[in-house]
Amino acid sequence: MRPNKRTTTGTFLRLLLCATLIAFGGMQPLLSAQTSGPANSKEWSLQLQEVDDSDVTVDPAFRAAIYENLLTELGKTGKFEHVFRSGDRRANSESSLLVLKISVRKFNAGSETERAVTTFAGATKLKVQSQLQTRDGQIVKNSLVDGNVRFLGSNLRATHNLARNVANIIKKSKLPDPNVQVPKEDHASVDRTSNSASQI
Amino acid sequence: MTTDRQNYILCPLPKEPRIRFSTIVNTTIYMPSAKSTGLLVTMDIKLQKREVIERTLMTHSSVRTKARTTLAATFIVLGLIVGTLAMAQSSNGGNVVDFKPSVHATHILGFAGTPANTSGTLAIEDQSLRFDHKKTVTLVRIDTIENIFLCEQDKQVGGIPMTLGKAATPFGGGRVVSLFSHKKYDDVTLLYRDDDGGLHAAVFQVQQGQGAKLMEALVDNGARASAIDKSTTQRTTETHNATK
Repeated sequence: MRPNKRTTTGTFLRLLLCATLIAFGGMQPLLSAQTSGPANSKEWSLQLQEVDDSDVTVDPAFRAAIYENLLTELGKTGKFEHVFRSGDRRANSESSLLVLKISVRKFNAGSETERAVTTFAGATKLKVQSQLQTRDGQIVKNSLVDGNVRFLGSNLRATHNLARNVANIIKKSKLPDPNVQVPKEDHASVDRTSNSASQI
Repeated sequence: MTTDRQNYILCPLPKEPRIRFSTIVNTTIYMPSAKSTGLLVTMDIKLQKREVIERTLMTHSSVRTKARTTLAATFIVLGLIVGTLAMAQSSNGGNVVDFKPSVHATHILGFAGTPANTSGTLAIEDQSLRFDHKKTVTLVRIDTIENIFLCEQDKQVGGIPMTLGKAATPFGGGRVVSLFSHKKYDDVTLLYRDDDGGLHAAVFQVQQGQGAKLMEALVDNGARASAIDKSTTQRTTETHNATK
């Protein structure tokens, strides 16, 4: 009787394995459908506009550093097929293009020496509004982002921190299907992201 | 060499065994006449005279003759320099910009193909702005530069080793060191377009006073600038003169 019992157990295990495999096979199309979300967003390209500082006076070096650091960080996200510079003619031929507009809302240049001497004073603070739009002006993502240097590092490091935060927000956000009409986002609903506590 | 025993004198023994005279004249001239060709004409003239007078017998006459000859030669060369300068100014009526053909600069970010935070040499060559870093050379055409900005930055010197040293100094001594271990630099920001029309922004850090000269030299060679901050230029020139 013992061999029979073993055979029954073995058959049961085999059947269980087959059932699992069949079930996994059946779920495969569903899983692939779920992962097709990021694949769609890969089709978007992005064009970064020149940094707008019409509201606040910003040092030209900071403006330039925000622009260049953003280009680097957005390229690192891997979310876009191409990241175009402002004025790049190749962007005109792109069918699905998102435009990122950066407007400086608050700027405090700070001082590296003050920081080194006092620790608590002389912080460099930057706050920008980043608007991710479609080509026809519909807002996809609207957020307020900070980039600060409070203790160590040069003043321009704030621009690097800011660019990294903007890129992180865009990386985490779900982009719409390029072929579907984008619903208009309420201008009042603005994400606020602060990184001041995490920055050194 | 004729020797006259009456004219021999015994030079007194100096306090130091050797006395050296050294005169160095180093002048860089920027000729505005070469604007169209974008050439920077530089004249480096070095006059150096070293005399070692030891306890020797020398004639008064030979010393005087030698001194007169040297003085005459110096005046001739100086006259030539002044004459050339005057001719250059009168013929063109332009400004003389004391901009050396190359400036030591630190590339902060943005210059095409150059790694960030690298030091090298900035130069104007064949209507292009050239940045040399180790063995890599990056060129950007000056006529593609759309705007130039100049601002001043105050930075702590010494980098990470100095920062660590200051942090390790007991009784807050590092803070006192920080009070004196800072230096002012000129940040030169360039906005230029690539072949596809894409906007690039590059930031260079140069020694205080060099930024204004670099900016003027670039504008003279065809770069566009919305407004040159004359006050900054004047201030840096005054500082330069004050240090002399």
